[in-house]
Amino acid sequence: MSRRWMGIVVAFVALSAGALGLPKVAAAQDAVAEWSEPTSPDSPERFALELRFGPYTPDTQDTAFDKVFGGSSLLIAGEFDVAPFRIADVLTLGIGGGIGYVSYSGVASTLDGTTTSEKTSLTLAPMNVLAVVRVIALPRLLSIPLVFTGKLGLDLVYWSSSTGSAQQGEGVSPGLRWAVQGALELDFFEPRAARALDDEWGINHSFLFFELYGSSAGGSSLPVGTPLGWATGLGFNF
Amino acid sequence: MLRVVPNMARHVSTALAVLSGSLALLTFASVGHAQLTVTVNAVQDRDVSTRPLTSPYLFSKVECDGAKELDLTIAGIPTGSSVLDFWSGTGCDQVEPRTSTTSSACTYLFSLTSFSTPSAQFWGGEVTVPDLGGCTTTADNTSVNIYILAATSEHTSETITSFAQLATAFDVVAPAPPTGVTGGSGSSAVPVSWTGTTGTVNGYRVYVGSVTSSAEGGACSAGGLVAGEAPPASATLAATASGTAGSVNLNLATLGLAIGDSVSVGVVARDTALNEGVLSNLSCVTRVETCGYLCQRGGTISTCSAVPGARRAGGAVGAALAGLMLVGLGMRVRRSRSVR
Repeated sequence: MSRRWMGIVVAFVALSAGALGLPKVAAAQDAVAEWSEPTSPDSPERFALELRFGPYTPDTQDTAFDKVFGGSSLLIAGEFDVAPFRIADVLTLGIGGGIGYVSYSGVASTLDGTTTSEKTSLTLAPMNVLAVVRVIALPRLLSIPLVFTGKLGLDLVYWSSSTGSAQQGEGVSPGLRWAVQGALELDFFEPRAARALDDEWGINHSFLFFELYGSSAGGSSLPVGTPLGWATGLGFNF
Repeated sequence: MLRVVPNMARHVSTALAVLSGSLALLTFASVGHAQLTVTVNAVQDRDVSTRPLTSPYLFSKVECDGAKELDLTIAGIPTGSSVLDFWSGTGCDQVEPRTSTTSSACTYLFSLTSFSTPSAQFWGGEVTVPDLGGCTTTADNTSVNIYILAATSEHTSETITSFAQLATAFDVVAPAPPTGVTGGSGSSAVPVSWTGTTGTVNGYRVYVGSVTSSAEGGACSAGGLVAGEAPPASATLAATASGTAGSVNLNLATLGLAIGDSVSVGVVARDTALNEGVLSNLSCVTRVETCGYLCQRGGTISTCSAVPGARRAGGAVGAALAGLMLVGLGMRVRRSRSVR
């Protein structure tokens, strides 16, 4: 992980924690006691929304990508999950759909390799449909605010490449996608605010997460998947 | 008491006389002044879509130098008026500034003596932009207040029957050229960039000279452009940039360059009156065959025929996700409130 991305992650976590009252360390003892009780025992958690970002470098199986674009770029994505099945306070099972965007820009060259002034770009828009399993036993039964999630499904990545003002090609690369996620529920830090959020907006829990994922998107089209990538972000259960 | 009453009556009648006189004067003043209305209908050769005719009317160096004609309508001219005097300055509806031999607050411009009442249209050269007196200014964007006075005798009249004001501004100073113009090589989107100039600049125009073909060695010649001078008529306007933008992309193919051809490029600044300055330093752009990412990658890639469908599907997925999220949140909020 490069220092730049580490900086982004640290800044994001700090901002999120600050917004949720993390600095109020003095109230932590009380908070633990309050959080131990279910926020709303009768409140089902049917939906989840995740907003994530992270560096993304497609495994294009060539040397041109690094030469032209120089490496990763920021992938911004969103995912919405519906979890109709639930085993008490142990896990939820459902499906989710996500969409994201990432773009790369570099300098085009001539056929003999001389650098020109013109830009060339590659844009990716991954879309996926996933089966989602969330293990909620730790926070619900043991008061440990960690949720682990597994995802598996189909990835469909729209890609487009242009040089100057001319589009050079576009296509859709299908593949499989997997992900594992560890999430820290933020209710722990400010239970009153979490309860108010539930009362006013129906949001049961908010969480910070870190996700590892992989995609085999490619097929006969441009390989734009990645064997291993990561993202971090903010999520909500409601 | 009896002696007082006649005096009181006399005083009252005197007061009434003064009052009625004052009212008469006030009535004259209100009726006699500020009744003219003046409308600028058109300025010769002006494209009103880029420079609308709104007050204050802004005139450019080109309109001054070319003595462009104005199309004016003046309405509300009192019957019996024999002259419409044009003055510039401050307070020119008053007698003193016009007649003063020591003050230069008001300057006489010209008179119109042939017109109909109560409304007249002046066009066909009766009034030109330089007639309004602002073309001799040397400052950038100078405001000039024009008074149009209706009177019964030309220029020397001390009393006027009606007047109107026309707010104008003259921008006869072209902006300085931008600096540091750089070109490059490419094909369909070659960047040309520059450092902007200061002043009332509202855009830039990028000109190219005549093409130097690759058969001539491809080296860039000036192609008719000269830095520090106005673009020649032979120059081609290749692109425009609005506001303070400092770069444009040129499509060299549409400018007629073949692979290997070069052309000189220069940039001029334009101000809000659309005065064009002189050319900046000249740079060179060359058309080359570019090889982007897919070209450098090589190989055969299936560009799926389902792309348009995938685009639509992507949009639909995004919209569906957003919709589901809102529905879910709405259901949850409603449920939360009903529980409370």
